[in-house]
Amino acid sequence: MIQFIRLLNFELSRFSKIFLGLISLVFVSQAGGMISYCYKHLNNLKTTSDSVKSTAPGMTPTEYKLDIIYGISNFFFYAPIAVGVTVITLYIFFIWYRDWFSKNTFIYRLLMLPMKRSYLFFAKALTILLYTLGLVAFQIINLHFLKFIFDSLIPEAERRTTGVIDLINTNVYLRMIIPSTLDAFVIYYFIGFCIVIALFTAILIERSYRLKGFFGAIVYCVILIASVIVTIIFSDGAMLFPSDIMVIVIILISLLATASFFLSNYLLNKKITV
Amino acid sequence: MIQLQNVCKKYGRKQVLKDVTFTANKGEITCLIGINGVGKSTTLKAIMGLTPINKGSILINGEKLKAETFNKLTFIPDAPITLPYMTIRETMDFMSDYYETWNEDRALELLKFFKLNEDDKISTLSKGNNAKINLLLGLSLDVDFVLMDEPFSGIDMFSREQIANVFTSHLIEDRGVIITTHEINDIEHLIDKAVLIENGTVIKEFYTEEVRNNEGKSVIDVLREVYNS
Amino acid sequence: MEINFNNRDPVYLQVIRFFKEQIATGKLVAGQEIPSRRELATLMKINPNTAQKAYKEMEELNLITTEKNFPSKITTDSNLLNSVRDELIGEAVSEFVNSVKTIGVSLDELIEAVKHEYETNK
Repeated sequence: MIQFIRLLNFELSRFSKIFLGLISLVFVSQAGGMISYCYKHLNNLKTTSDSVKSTAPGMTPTEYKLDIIYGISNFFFYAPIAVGVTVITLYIFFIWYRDWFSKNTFIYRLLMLPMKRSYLFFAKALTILLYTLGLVAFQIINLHFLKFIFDSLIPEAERRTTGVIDLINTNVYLRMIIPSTLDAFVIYYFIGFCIVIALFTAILIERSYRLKGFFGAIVYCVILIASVIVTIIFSDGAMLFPSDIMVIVIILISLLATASFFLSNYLLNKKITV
Repeated sequence: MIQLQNVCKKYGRKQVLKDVTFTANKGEITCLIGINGVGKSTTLKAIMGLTPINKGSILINGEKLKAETFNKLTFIPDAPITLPYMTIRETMDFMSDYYETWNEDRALELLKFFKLNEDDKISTLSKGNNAKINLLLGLSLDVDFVLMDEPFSGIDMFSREQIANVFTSHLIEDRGVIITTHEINDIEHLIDKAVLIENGTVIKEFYTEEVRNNEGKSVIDVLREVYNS
Repeated sequence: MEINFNNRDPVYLQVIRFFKEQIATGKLVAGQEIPSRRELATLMKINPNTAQKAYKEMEELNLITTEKNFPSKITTDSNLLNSVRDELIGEAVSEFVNSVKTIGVSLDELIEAVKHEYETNK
């Protein structure tokens, strides 16, 4: 067990600089976007109220309040999220291929460590999961910080008091990475983890059989996706409740991920080639 | 003892290993010699479970390869397998974290022997020094068997000399060594047993002193005979 | 201990011969300590098993003696040491005579030629 934790720690450390880069990007870009949004609208408010004063003295200006919801729908908010999602997705592949194709072939060492080769598989899979959750967690923290910026810059009278939870729920993209209920969140990232396992298996098929394996990997993925789709169509046809379909699909995905893991373990032990 | 019995391997249609059978004993230096073609490196990789075989069996002390076997044997490939961003020290620490057989005293001794500085980054090392790091990491494990792939190829003369000295030193004492080479000159007097591999098959396996004693032939004489026939 | 091995004779025999030459020329004397097997292997750049075999053979010939946990030493048996010199001379002469005989040289002619060569070839 201690061996596995060391290995996990090692795999985590290999991505730590990129992770720090990503959260810095999220922080700087989103905070910058929020600050510039606030100042832009503070200026607008000033000019509007000036013009209102000049044109219609004695009248109160029409009710116009800023909402942080609009403060985050901009390029500077979404771009770092897109970058994060892309980097993590690419790293699912890079986490294996780097050990074969970097300057030095480190996979030799990894495969020769006196521990079960499945540890390697889980260490890499958990690395992906933990960094993904790490990015999500940081995004949630940063939303609080963005709200703090918003609240500090915009006078209370000029803004609505939207909380972070409402902010997430009203934004379609945020809802995608941060499902609103705990159940949904767990299921969502559990399925994500299963997809990572399936992709790892596809990578190991390619690494074991090379060119033949490349096509084999594609076929493998198609079979997995098809079996999920067929199950959904079939359950839908059987007039099941959506919640029942959901349960069936989750069970199916769990089974497929388990099978994938056993296939990966077999490949790592018997078929992998450096 | 490492035993290979009728080991066959194909890459696509190409048969790389054909019924490879030989034995390497503890306390002996066994040399896989082959002038042309593949087979030698593949044999070592197959022993280490780094590439699958299609047929035959490979036994290490009578057992098939498993996770614990890596505390009994080690492989020193002909290219670096370290991480360039680490220093030599960090690389050594990595090894000691995972291998219960890591021998720090021996590692420090080898560091001195090869005149390497443990604060140097792997990425700054020359080819010869990278080869020495590979040797250092492999030989610092207290294992029964050391497999070395072409330890002399593409390395400057002085590094070759240093590496050759390793074979006669206590660093190798009582271990079993399997070494591959396409050039026997450097090590003719260092090896116990020669296994000639050509086009993926073993064409002769013999003890060098026996052949000198009984037939008055050098290893190169035997090679010449085999290739001319 | 620089030694040029030929590739065709067993290395352990060449090692033994080297020791005999050292004894015959007085570079190694009675009772002198000699390197350990490991040191010898390193010095001569030979396989440690070969060094071991050479030492074992020399022990059997009583050329060297080994007591437990002590370095091996050259024997103190002076008769044996003297005989080493005779043996080397004998071997060299017999090899020489054998090769000369094939040319069909008479003994007198040979002695004359040897004398001449020995005196001029310094």
